[in-house]
Amino acid sequence: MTRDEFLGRLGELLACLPAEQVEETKAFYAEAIADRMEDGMSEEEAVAAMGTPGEVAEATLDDLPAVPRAIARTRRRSTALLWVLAIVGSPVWVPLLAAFAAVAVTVYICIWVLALCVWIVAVALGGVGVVELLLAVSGVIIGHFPYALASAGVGLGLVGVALFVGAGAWAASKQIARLSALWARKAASPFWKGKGEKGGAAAHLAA
Amino acid sequence: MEAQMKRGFLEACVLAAVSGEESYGYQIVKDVPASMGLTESTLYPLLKRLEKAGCITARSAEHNGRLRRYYRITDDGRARIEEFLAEWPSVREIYAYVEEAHHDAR
Amino acid sequence: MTSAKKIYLAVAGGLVAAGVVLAGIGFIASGFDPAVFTTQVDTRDSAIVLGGVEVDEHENIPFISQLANLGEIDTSDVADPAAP
Repeated sequence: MTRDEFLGRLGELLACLPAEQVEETKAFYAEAIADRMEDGMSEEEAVAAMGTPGEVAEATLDDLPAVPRAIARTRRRSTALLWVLAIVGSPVWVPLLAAFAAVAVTVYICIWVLALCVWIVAVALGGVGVVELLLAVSGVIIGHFPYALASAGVGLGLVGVALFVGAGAWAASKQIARLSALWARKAASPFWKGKGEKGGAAAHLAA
Repeated sequence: MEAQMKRGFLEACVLAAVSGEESYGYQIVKDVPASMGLTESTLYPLLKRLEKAGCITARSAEHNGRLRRYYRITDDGRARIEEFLAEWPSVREIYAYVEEAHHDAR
Repeated sequence: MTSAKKIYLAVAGGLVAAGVVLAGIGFIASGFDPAVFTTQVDTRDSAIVLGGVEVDEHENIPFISQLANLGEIDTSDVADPAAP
């Protein structure tokens, strides 16, 4: 097989990818073949060293997330088949997709409700603290100083505790925001790949 | 070699291959130990992945009247290599355990 | 930790500490009477008991007097419809 035949076949097999990505892939293999030929191999040998276009295309598609990969593979066989599968399978995948989305949204709401609860506790403590301070003022007006002191003390203490709980709520909200971004990426991972790859690749290295 | 393990090794090898001077596809294939069996079809997705993860940077430069893509490691990539190397004591421990158990059984 | 965060936590801690000390002093000043921490507002008869002491003229206390008056329903205009 000549270089051009190889690249032409590869381009056909990868037609399901964006044109820019196909060009990039072809450029990489063109460079590899040229480098091998420069190293003294014949064109035939250099092309053979790449493996078959099918294997190369497979390796490139392997790096796609699960759903686009399945779509790309099916489309490679036949676009008609993809549409037939999509339509025939719609009673299966439409409810599945809806359920998936519903669960994701519910989980998301639940964790934010948790954070909201902490905020409510903080606000409630602060509110009671303020009321206690008002009561302390009343205590001063009626001249009952032990009561005024005790109320002021409880009020100040509760406001302080509210500040602490508020700090906790803030930290929790921040964590949840971070986590939910992470989960959103995870949930989306069968469909597309984002920057989340970094952590994934690190896990592979560690493995 | 087990697939996951091999993937980790390959990543470390490719990072190591571009950790000094910048390098290009075929050079990396030649540099990485033959026992890894690295080919272009494995290398290409790997380079893309590492580039996306910010472990390497790539630039195109002319070579003999054509373009060639050169890759160079980043600080993130170096950190990744350190992580990989830090695994060594635990790997050695596992090997020692397996070896001993295997030896004792005989 | 940023300095703003440190200041925030220091203020919160200071408030709690000051609160505990003040409450303690109030408790001691009352002769260790736990009732000093109680506040009762009865909206039925507008009785206000602050720290175990009944307040008679509560018109001059802000906030609580309004609370005490909440329960008052003006019934003066309502005549008994079923009066024989």
